Amino acid sequence: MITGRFQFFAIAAVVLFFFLVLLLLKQKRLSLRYSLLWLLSGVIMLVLAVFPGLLDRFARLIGIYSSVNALFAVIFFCGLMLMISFTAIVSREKQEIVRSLQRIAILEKRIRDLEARLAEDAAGEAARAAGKPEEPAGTSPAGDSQRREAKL
Amino acid sequence: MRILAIIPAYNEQDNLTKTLADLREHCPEIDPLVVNDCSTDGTPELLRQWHIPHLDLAANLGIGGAVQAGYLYAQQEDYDIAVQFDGDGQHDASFLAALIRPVAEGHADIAIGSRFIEKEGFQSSGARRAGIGFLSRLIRMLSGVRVLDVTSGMRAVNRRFIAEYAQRYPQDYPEPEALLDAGLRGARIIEVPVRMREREGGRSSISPLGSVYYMIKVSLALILGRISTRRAERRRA
Repeated sequence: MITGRFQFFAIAAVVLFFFLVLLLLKQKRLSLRYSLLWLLSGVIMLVLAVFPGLLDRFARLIGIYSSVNALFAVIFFCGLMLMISFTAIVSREKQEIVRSLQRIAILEKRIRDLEARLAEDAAGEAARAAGKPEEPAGTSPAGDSQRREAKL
Repeated sequence: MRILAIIPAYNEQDNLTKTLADLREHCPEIDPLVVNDCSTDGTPELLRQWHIPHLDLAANLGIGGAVQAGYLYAQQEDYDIAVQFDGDGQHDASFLAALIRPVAEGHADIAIGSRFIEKEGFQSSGARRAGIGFLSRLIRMLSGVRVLDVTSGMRAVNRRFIAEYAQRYPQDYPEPEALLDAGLRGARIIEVPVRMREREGGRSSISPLGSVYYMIKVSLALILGRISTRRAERRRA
C-alpha cells in the first residue's frame, strides 16, 4: 500500500516537523509545556513513517480496508485532540487574565486613594508652613471628595 | 456595619450620575463603587472628574467579571455586606434598605430584589417573563432554591458569599447561575419585593435576537453547574 517513495517523503516531512518544533523551542517561542503535545504527535508520525507495516496492522485492527484511510483517521483524531487542548488552554488563560485585570483595577484604585491622601497631607503641610491655620476637614469640595475616596 | 454598593457600568455616562445621586439620597451610609468595564464613552472622565470611587478594568470583562471585581474589592476591604446595583437607572435605591435588612439581621445570606412578588413597576415583556419563569423553575428543580426573579441584578450578599463570589463567579450572563451556585452551597436566599424602572438611556445588554442564545446558554450553564458542583461542596453551610 505505502510505496517506498512515499515513505521517504513521509520521513523527510517528519524530520522537518521536528526541526521546526525544536527550533521554536530553542528560540523560546514555544514553551516546553505546550510543545510536549507536538513532540508526541511527531513521535507517532515518525513511528508510522518508519514502520508502515504498523499502519496496515492498525487499519485491519479497527476495520478500515485502506491503510491510507487509517492514516487520515489517525491524523484527524490527533488534530481534534490538539484543538481540544488548545481550547482548554485558552479557557484557563482567560480566567487568569480576568483575575489579573481585576487585581490591577483594585491596585490602581489603591494608588489613586494613596496619592489623593498624600496630596492632601502635602497641602496641609504647606498651609502650616505658611503660618496659616490648617483648613478643617471638609471645607474645600475637592479635598472632601478626595478624603471620601481615600476612606472608601 | 460596612456596606459596599457594586455598580457595574459599561457606557453609562447618561445614567451614572443619576444612579449615584439616587444612592446618596436614599442610602448615604452605603459606600458606592463603580466598576467601569472598559467603557468607550465619557464614563471614565466622569468618574475621575467627580471623584467617584471606582475600579477601571483595562479590558471589557462583561458583567460577570465586572461584578466579581467588586466582590474581590469588598472582600479585600473587609465589607460586611455587598449590594449589586445596576448603573443604568433601572434599580431604585429607595428599596435598598428593605433589601439589605434581612441580610444585615442574619436571616438570609443573599437577598434578591424581585419584580414579580408584588408585580409592581416595570415588568418586562411577556416573552421575557416566560423565559425568566422557565429559568426559575429550572433552578428550583436543580437546587431547590425558590426565586421568581432569577435574572434580577439587584442583590445583597453577606460576608460568606462575598468571599465565595470573589473566588468564583460565572462570567457571561451570570445572575441565574450565581443564584444556583449559591443555592448548591447552602445559601439561605430570600426575595424582597422591589419596583424597577424601564431603562432610560443606553441599551440593554441582551438584544431580542440574543435571547434565544441566552436561554440555551444559561440553561446549559445551570445544568453543568449542578453536575460540576461536588456533593461535598454542596450544603457545606
